[in-house]
Amino acid sequence: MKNPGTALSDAPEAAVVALAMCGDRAAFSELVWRRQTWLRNLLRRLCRDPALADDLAQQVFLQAWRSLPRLRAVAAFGGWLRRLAINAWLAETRAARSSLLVSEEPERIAFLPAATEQLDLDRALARLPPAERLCVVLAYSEGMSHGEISDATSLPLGTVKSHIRRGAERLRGLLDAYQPLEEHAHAG
Amino acid sequence: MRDELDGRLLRHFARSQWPLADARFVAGVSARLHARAGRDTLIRVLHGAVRAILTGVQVGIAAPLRLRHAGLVALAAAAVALCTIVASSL
Repeated sequence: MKNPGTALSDAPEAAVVALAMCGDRAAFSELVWRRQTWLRNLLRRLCRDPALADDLAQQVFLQAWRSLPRLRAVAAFGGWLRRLAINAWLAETRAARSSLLVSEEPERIAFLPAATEQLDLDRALARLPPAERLCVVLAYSEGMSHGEISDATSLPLGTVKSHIRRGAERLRGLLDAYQPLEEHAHAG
Repeated sequence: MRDELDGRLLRHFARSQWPLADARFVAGVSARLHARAGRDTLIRVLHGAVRAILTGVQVGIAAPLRLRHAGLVALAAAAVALCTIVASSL
């Protein structure tokens, strides 16, 4: 996503990151513009509350601005930003006394008829326990390998695998309950 | 080797993205950035002022007069000076 009408809108991301690392605010704003959709979607999938997700996304960008001079390689910007987002969400979850170490009961959410596919997915994700939700989102939405997820979350590899397997099973069940329409669409 | 994932869920995730590019979010980040920068600048200025006052008191007063407990004198002077600055700015 590019910011229309700015001098940097056509510049490659590596160049924009390099400028931002030198303290160029316009370059950083361009990065915020380009990365906001991805980062906000990621955090909306992890949080149950879109307003909290956006607040966390803003905090992540602020932290990124402060820490950018310490970024080792411009090409690593995306992964680095994702890591900041995961850490911010983990801190928020811990602050809300939702420890990942304890197996939690998923939040009870009243069933509402599905409006869109996106709502279905968000609603189904919200019913997974935090650790399962994190692992499923990182695997399915971010395309991270089990090993990368283990590194990023400090969860043991076996735990990551079982979270993903169990989370995917639950998600399939929830989506089937929300949306038997997929089969109808194929049938039609 | 790629980890095994459910194809149906992968397609579902790929199709489901909120269109979330808006200028208000970017403006919000910029506003928080400016607020933060203002606070950082104030802290830097105060820090610099304290150091300057401490050095001035130590070099200009405590050392020539060979005062005992020069550090304490300097700290007290810095505190008085800061209080005066804060009181006059309110």
